[in-house]
Amino acid sequence: MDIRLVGDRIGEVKALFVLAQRILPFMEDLFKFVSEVTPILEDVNKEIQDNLSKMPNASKQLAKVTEANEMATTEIMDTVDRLTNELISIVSELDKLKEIDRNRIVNPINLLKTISETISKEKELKSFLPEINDFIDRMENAVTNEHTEIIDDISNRLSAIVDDANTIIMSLQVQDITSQQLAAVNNLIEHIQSRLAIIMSNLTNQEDGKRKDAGKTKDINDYDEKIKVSHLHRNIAFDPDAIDAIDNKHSRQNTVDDILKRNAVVDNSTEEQDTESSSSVEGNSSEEFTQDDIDALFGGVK
Amino acid sequence: MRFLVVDDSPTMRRIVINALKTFGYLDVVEAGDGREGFEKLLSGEEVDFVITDWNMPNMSGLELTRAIRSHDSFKHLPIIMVTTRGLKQDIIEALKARVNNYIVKPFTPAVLKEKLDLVLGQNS
Ligand SMILES: [Mg+2]
Repeated sequence: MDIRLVGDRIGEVKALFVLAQRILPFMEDLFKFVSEVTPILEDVNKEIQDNLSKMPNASKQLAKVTEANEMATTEIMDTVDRLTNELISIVSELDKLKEIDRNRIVNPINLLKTISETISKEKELKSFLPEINDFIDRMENAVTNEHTEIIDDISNRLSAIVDDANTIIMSLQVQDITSQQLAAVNNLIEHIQSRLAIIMSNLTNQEDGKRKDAGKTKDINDYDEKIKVSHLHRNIAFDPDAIDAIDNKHSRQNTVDDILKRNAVVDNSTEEQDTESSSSVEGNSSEEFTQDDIDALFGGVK
Repeated sequence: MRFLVVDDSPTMRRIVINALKTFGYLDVVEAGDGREGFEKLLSGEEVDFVITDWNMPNMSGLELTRAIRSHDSFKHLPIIMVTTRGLKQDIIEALKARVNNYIVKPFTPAVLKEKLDLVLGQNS
């Protein structure tokens, strides 16, 4: 054997020892870390299991919240509807009252007018004429001015209350938006729950191969449908960005109208355009689109 | 004039119907999702105007619009989409499906009236 080769091999072994010496403290740290992290991982495992058991409860609570919300909204609507109906009937009653008042007063006035005319022919009673005529004027004014003004004022106030009642009803649209948002949260909880269940199942399967039901848990793709639906007290289809509807409620319709306005010129000559034929703009949805694109979109709409 | 109001939220259906009532439109049929709405049309329910939500289980408002537009008997029905969805791509999708107008929730009665009059004017 070449003595130089032996020398080289010894050199390599020496280098290995040097490396081992350098690695040893790191290996010790690694062993220490693993021994420390094992109980932490057990804690995490327990934590995941605890949270997993709590999640169906969180979903149930969300279902209760949305149901209570919806019931309260219905109660408010019922009450406002009753109020509105009452108000509308009061307004029409007032109108009738105004008419009744007018009829009641008009007849005596006509009578007084006749008397006044009769008296005017008798010389000695003529001196009372100004007084009688004044009375007639006052009676007429009483009807046209006082009663009518009061009744009109009440009618106006009642109409304003009816408007307010309608505003309350319109404000209740927030219930749809909040329930969609809660449905989105519930969907997220269910999603996390299913992911945790998969993780847990994988962990326990590796340990003892016990959990056989992991396959039954919904995968992330099950939630990735076009219209997302979350099961709360009823199946609620939701828009994950529904909350934007509240945040930007004043500007959103303007933005929509802006897009619609640019479609104002409708090409009626193109009858019944196929929806597929206008799909060329699909990829540009986040960009400004040209009038040609829009005209293509609106080809078939009357 | 008979309206078909389609929304999975009972609150929203009631709000739309309430608004229609204040405009003097009292004749309304309602449905809880697109499938129910389309089934009502197929069953011969006489409808002159459709107001539909977008996000609904079973059949969305977009799918309902497409179904209406591709059916010989209903393809000319005026449709207004009333939805929380307000992204540009959503509006484009709705336009491609050929809705006549588009309203974002929460809406005011004035906006609904304006769009109704506009669509009715276009269709008269
Ligand atoms: Mg909906």
